[in-house]
Amino acid sequence: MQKINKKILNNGLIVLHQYDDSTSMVAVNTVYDVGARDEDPEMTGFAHLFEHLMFGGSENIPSFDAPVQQVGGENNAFTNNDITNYYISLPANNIETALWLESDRMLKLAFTPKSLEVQQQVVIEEFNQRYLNQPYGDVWLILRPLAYNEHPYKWATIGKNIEHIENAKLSDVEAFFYKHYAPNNAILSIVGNISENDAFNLVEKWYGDIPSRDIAKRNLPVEPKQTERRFMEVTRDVPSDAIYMAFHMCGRLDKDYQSCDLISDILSNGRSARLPQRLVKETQKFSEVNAYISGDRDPGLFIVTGKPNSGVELDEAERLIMNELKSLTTETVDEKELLKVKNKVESGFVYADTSILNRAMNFGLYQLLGDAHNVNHEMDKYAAVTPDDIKRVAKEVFTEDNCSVLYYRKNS
Amino acid sequence: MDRNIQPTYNPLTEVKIPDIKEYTLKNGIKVYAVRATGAEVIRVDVSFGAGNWYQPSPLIAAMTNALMREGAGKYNAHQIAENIDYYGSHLQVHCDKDNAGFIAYTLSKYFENTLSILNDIVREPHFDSNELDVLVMKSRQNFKIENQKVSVISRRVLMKNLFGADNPYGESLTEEQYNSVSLDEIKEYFNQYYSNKNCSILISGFVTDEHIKLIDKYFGDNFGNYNNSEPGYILKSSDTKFNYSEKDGAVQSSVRFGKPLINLTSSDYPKLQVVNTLLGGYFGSRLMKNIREEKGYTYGIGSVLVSLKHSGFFTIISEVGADVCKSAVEEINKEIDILCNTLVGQDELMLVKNYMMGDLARNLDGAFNIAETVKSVIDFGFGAEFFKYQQECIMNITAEEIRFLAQKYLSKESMYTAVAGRY
Repeated sequence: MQKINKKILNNGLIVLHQYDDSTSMVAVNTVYDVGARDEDPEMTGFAHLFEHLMFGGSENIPSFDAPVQQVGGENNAFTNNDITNYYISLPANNIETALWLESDRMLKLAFTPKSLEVQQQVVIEEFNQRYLNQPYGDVWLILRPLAYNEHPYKWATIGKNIEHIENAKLSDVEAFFYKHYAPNNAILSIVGNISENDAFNLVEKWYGDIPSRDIAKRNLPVEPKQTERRFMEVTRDVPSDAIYMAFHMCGRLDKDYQSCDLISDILSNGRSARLPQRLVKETQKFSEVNAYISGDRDPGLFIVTGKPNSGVELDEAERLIMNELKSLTTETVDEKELLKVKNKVESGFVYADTSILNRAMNFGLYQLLGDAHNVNHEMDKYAAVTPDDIKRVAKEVFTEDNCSVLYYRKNS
Repeated sequence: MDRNIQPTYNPLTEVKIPDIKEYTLKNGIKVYAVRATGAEVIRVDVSFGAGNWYQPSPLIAAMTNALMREGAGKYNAHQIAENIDYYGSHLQVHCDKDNAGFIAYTLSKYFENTLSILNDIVREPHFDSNELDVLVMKSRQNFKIENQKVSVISRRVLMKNLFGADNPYGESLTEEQYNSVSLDEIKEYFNQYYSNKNCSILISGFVTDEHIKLIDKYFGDNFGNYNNSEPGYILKSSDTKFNYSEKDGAVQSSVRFGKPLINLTSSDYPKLQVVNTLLGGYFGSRLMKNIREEKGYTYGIGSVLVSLKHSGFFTIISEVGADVCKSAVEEINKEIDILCNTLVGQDELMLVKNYMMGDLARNLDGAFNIAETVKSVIDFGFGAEFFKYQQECIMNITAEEIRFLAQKYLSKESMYTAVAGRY
């Protein structure tokens, strides 16, 4: 049971705190309620580029990283389709440096041309490194626009294409900041060796005078229900064929979310799971096969990927995978198999909780979903899933009409 | 409150040395324990001197290690996987240049269940030939994918140049070698190297005396026929200092610098770690500042010291835009020159020291972090006292020493460079 203290400042900043005296460190996590889904379709990749710029100095402080390192800390950030998350871990008695830095860039970022110019280059190299220069690296650039027609999940966090990053202007950066970065659009969590009182007092000191800003209400297009199988194939210089199948599924807060997650676990979490056992080991049709959910806030994707062994054609690979998925819709999963994946979820939570940084991030995420205290009820939701739920949800998700298929062929 | 001024802070001048308990099982296996309260989770690391260095032919060490969990004792491969998953445990196999073994994470309440499976894996693997076929097939596939990456190509070339092609530190795999993995060699390798005489165990987390007794129960007997034979390779660096492997159509090139170097047993090592951190060992390093934050040539660049049992090496790693690859190589050389010729300023030196003390504190915070950090020193015969010496080195090193060590160990002339992609 996690004990979490919560306070909301007058400017709307939500602050979460947990005391842990088994460590000498403290984790300071800031999540902003903005991600790639909030981008202009003509300026994709911007939320992530902006994350880079957040390290280029703020109103009163020229450099973000150096003071963190100076006090023995380490910091980083990540962006996904839903959120932008910044974190610092440092010796607890130096926490004020972290709050000084984070609050100043919440107050106002320094918008410098040099920082924009360099970070555009850095992000282009990130694009090259992760998406273009790796075998199978461009899969998500292809699969997202295939699976989504309307919803902004149709572009990857890195952006639709490099031009969008190249074209970013300083005025866009400034506009983005005032549109999305504000105390009333952020959650600050502090976990570690600092008392509740000290934490809240210091937060009040550094954040109390930051004005709240008008944050436009999110109004994203809803993805229309997919009504027929979508298909695409590409040929690339890769050593083996691969197949990617994406099914639409519910969003993070839907009552069936946990069932979907457990279905993906039954299929591929752990070496005893169905897909690796049946398709890799028993029939040896694949060298690897995986199932997972995207975990998005809005209705997301249930993804199955595989690399068939040579001699297995991609249409056969698709049939083999579909058969495994279909068996979840016709046969009821037995209690023991379901309990196994629930045990795995439960131990996963316990392992993750050993890290103060994980906890700080998690509290922020759950608060963003409604209430940080729900971290304490998440396991109950998994425990409540029945074999009938698995079958019912599998039936809803695993239909041909709901599937986008990508054949990724090697050039011969 | 003035937002222009950094709040007062306390540089870490001392990091608490972790308490590592040491036990000896009746068969002589050393068990190291890092105890913590809190979450009821345990990590067990069973490690053998059974890494690539000792293998009679390529792939044998890794295949032996990975095949051990594919059926052992009273369980077939599926049952092992099924049981591990059912208890919510995780079992990792690991095989590096020197060591091979298993790391299990388990809830304390399932400690004995997990340990009992681990015991079967270590003592009575089946080495089934069908399982070997599947393993080889998967590994070969993975090898082919990895082999397309410029970073993998440049690493292969660099390691060969640093250590020579005819030993496990420098040799590179070929796809053909996957066709000739022999089950007999694997069995022989297992018998010789997976022995109590060649084993250490590191347990961390929510550990009680009861858990230590269980380790003795499952791992306390003699096993294996270890005869302590050393392959006796002679490591020899190449005469070629620069290598370029062209890859058509690459949008980025992988750039690696490196050279063979001292390992953790040298008293210079912790000091050289400070020099390395300054150059490329953290986000604010000179290489990051120059190549990423000034020039925008790369998403990331870093340098690292690697300690091997029979040697060690230094390496700089980056993937840079293919069009700016030449400039990036030049800039890296420039930074090495500056490191060797110019005294570091006091501000930068203080920053690096403070960062490193904080980093050490993070690495020695929490039982699992401590276990990983401790493992890297016990393999070289040290205990927790190493971290005390390390702190002294960080706190006391001077700008003059840094320049001296840079000249002694990291001169531009002694570096090997490997580029893969376009140059």
